[in-house]
Amino acid sequence: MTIIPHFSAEGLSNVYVVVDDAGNGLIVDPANVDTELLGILEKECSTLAGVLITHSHQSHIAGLGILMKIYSPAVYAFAPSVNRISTVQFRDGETKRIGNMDVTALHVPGHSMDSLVYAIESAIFTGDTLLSGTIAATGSHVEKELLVKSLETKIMTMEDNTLIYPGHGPISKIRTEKILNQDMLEAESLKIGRTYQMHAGSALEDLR
Amino acid sequence: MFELKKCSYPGCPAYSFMGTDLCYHHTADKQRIHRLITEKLSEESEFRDIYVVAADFRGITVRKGSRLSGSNFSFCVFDRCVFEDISMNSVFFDFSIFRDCVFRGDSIRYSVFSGSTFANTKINDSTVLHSNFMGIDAESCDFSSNDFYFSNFSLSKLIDISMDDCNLKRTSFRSCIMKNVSLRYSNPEDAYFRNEEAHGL
Repeated sequence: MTIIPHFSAEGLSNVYVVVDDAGNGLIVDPANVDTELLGILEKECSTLAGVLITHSHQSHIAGLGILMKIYSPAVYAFAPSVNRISTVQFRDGETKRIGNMDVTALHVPGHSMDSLVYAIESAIFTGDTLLSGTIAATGSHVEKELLVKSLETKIMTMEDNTLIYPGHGPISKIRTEKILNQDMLEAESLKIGRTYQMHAGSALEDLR
Repeated sequence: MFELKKCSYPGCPAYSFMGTDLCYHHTADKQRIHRLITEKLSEESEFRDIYVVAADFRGITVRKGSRLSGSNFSFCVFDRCVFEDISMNSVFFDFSIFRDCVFRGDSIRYSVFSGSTFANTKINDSTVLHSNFMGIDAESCDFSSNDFYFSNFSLSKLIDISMDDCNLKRTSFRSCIMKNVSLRYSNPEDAYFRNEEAHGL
């Protein structure tokens, strides 16, 4: 498997081209279709087997229309349609065989309710959910709690050498994020603080 | 991308080395593999899918103009190594040690140096885009004349570092410890230093 990152100046997003040994290609989040991306596709892929959408924000899907006109690949997402294009829906934990690759989707809501993280072999494509050193922006504390909980249970439990390919910024590894992701560390320390307060509170009650 | 096949040694979480069943650490003939990698680095013009963990590379000059992609050198030691006019894409050097190394005129994209230690190391005249330097420990280094667009130095410790004449647009220095860091002719106003969302897009 080959993973080729491509930076899209539209939305400042990362687009990934994933190619299996037989030349079947997948695009993760077609933020924009420019000549450089088309060059990568033409050089590296014999067919475009599908498009994986991590979530339906325009900074990640704006190039989907052009891509459909040129290649008309199958589009995979959590939502039934993206930019009025019908999708093949992924459910949480579901694995689909695309080309020669087994693609597993994990539902990680919080940044958006349709956020998926795709796992292919030992690489994960996290979209906006988990970035290098930080987590996605959320609209409320409830959504942030939801995101942190999903990341803690589904992503941070993965093997340390798992490679992280986020929707924005540098790539990373699970080991690095476990040690250095500030947002996750802050969430952890808040949780410890709350547990401490709770126990301290009950201890005071006992004293009374 | 490097082959992601688990090492067959019981309980070992690392990946096997280039088509073999064992990782570099558990292979019987480490020296042969080390020689193979050293030869590849210093003689071949294009190499990919190298996976090696915790190896020592001393005094190696990577062949000028070579292209390195989809490779992993985690927990390695690079001592007096020279990377000049090299193109790197998706190369992982996380938790490694760079001592007296030189990176000059390189094109480094989507590469990872997080958790590494840099001592007396120079990175000059290079394009270092979308690269991960999170949690590095750098002392007495010259990181001048580089384009660090969208690279991440958050939670790093930078001491006696020259970062003159660098493009720091969208570069993150969130929660960095910086002591005697020179940013002359660079654009720190375009970088992220506190808790602003570096990637809040």
